[in-house]
Amino acid sequence: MTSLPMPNSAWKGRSRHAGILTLLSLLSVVAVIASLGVGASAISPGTVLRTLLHTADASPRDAAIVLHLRLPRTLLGFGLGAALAVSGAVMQGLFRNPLADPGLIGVSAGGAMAAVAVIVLGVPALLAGTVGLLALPLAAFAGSLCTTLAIQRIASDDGRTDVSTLLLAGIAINAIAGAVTGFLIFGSDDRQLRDITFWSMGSLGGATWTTVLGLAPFALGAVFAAGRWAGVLDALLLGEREAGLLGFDVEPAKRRIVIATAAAVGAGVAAAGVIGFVGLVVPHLVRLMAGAGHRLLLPASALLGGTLMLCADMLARTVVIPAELPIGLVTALLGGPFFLWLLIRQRRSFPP
Amino acid sequence: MIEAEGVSLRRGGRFVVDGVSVAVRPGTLTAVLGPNGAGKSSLVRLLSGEASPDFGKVALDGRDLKRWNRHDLARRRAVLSQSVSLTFPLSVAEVVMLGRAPHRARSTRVEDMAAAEASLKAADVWHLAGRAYPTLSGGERQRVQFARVLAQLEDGGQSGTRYLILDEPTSSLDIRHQARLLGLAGGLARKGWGVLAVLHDANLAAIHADTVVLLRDGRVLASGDPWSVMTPDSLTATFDHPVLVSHRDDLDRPLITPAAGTAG
Repeated sequence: MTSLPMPNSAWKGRSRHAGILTLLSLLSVVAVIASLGVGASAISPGTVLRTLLHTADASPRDAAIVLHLRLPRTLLGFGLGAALAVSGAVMQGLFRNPLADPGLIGVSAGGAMAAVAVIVLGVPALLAGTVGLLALPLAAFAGSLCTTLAIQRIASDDGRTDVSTLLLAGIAINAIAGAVTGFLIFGSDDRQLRDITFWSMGSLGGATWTTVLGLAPFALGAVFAAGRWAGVLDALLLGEREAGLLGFDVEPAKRRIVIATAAAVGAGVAAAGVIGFVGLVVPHLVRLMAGAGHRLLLPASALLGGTLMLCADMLARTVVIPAELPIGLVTALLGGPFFLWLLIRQRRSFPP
Repeated sequence: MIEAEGVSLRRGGRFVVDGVSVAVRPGTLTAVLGPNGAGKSSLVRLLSGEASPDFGKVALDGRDLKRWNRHDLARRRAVLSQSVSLTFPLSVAEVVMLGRAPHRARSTRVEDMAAAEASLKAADVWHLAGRAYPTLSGGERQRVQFARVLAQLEDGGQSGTRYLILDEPTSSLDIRHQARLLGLAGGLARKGWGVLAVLHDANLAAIHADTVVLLRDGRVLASGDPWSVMTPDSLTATFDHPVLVSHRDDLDRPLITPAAGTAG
């Protein structure tokens, strides 16, 4: 700490930052261990740890469940939660709008539309083997990226992106993607309809090491890239003009941020379907705890997003044993009312 | 010196700035006066390098603004915009620390905090340092943003003249803080900084400015020291409204009084 006389807690100390990150890291570890143990077949935390550390005495059955079923699912859930929360935090900063969310600019809807098209048009059946298995994730990813690029193109004029046009274009794209998805559902048979429904509500049920490896580069890439953009994101809170006057090259930064976020969210949609509210609620929670500065907001959102996603997945897995709920239902059911409460609270403390 | 030579800026098919030559000189506080839509804010954008002129050129210390590295430029000139809103609850201290962004690569956090503290005190907002920016009043926000631009230019060992551009810095301030802010800006000018302020209050310009520029329809009508520029004729022509000028005995400066409003 410094010796300067500071009024109130004007300068949020580094030690406070470290404390919050330590606390969230501990919570993450607890959530990971719990997530490996909880399920139709309960496994004690001790057995989970022994299995992870390769000490002998866990039963082969427990070891198989932990390492081959629950570990990929847990890693996918944590990575997805972290990627969605960081993407949400970044978008909110970029658009200076606490309601901004990757879903809002059409990234999720575009991905969903492409994936539904693949299911209904039966592309996986046409392509044999690994390529067939990857068709759905690849389509969702491609759909997300194309949507984002299209929206960027519509909203950008002469190298400058107008944020309100971007958001409005997102609304239009969401409507179009929703309508196209609806039409495709009319043309689907019962089995396809079940696939579509389950997938569009989001689920970590399809987690394998392949899906984990598919998401990992995008999730890690987005989280670490976002950390490097903390400075420009902070400046952007003052507005694009002020950020430019402070010496930041705003337009290229915005482009890179939007594309990285689209890639992360697209990869997430591909791996687990549409899971809402994580990107919206987690950054809000962190801001309540730790303020709006991005140097802390981004890593804290990643940790809390991963933790909450695992909690939601544990609920989804245990509420209706032996079946499981789509995780998107859980996040929407918990996240929706919470978000409404935040809105009301915010309107009271900072009237517009 | 920031020097604009015959600059023009075209927006929406017409010239909002039309062949203007002005200079922001070190050691001088220049005030720009003009009616609404005269092109004052556009002139600010040209002088700060945010907009490139369609004709003419703007140079800072002899080098065209287009050829400045953006970080170097941000350490040399700062702009106080008309209003800056924040949706997220950054604290006042954090907002002022954002002004240190162009220095981050070369200064330590302790130096940055010291610069922010000095700026907060100079702008008379030190007591607000822990408050959330969105909870402040309009005038308090304006003073916090002033502190931020001061922090941006604060730089112990570095050489080179600093330039401060203020776009209606007193629009939300009470009388005491109007006088205080422009007094401080004048003090910085005497320290060697170049200061340009767009003002709406002709009397504030008359009291604090060393040079006054009258702008109308994107053109300079007159420029020079307050006594030579602020004549009844030139002010009446600038504002399209009868203006009386008398003598302030206390300060030996012009005292400007608009005539009573004319109906219809």
